[in-house]
Amino acid sequence: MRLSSSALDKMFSALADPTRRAILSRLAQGESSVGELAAPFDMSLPAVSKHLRVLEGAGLMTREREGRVHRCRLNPESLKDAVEWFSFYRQFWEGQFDALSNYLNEVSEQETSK
Amino acid sequence: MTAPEGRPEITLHLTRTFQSPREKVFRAWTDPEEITKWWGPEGCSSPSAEIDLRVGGRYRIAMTTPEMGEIYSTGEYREVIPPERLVFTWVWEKVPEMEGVETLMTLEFREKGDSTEIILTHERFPTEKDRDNHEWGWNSCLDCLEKMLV
Repeated sequence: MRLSSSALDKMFSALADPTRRAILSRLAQGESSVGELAAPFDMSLPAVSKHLRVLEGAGLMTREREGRVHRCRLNPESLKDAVEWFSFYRQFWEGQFDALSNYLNEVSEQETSK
Repeated sequence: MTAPEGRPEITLHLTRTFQSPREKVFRAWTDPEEITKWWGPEGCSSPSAEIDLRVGGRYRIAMTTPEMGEIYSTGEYREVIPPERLVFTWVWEKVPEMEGVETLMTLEFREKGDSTEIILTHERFPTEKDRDNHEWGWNSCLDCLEKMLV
């Protein structure tokens, strides 16, 4: 996984919005047209299109034109990058907490045995 | 809470309680000699730490790792309130995938009787550093991301 600063920012910006996360959830179930993606939201089509452009710009989604229909597809690779980013840090800090806990327990054991 | 417009925010939150008084726990994070005694997840250790503990001061902590040899985490302190709170930037050095990517760490130390609870927040923040407002909204969506990949 290699994410540049700007790629991270784009991805996190895309993921920080609940509408966009809902769109991604829907795409995770299978490819959809723009109309199908817009249906659950009480939002104009241009507003939904704006969200889709953000997702595309972040590499989370791809779009193909079939005649007048745009078929949208989740890009699982970049989603995996985001998950890996979190996992890396979560594992690192959990490991740090484990090490700190061991250390503090040792220190207090040494003190009580004095 | 929702993130303010134009300020995307995704954060990692961890909380854990340690069976030690707060001053000790705070010192473990800020005294260079203490840090080298415990720093590093399983299999890793820290041979050295340089700490300039003040707002605007910098730190650099070395860590030897099995896979990558010696790497460093470095950054600048944004808030130093002993023994309650630390906020500092975090950048990895010598870690190819993460080189130069700046993130922000917040540690809150809360007293719980003889124990201390640490609330850790690790977040990516915008590159514009006009971050005077700490009322950041957050959306931690690791779980929902993972579900999407199933």
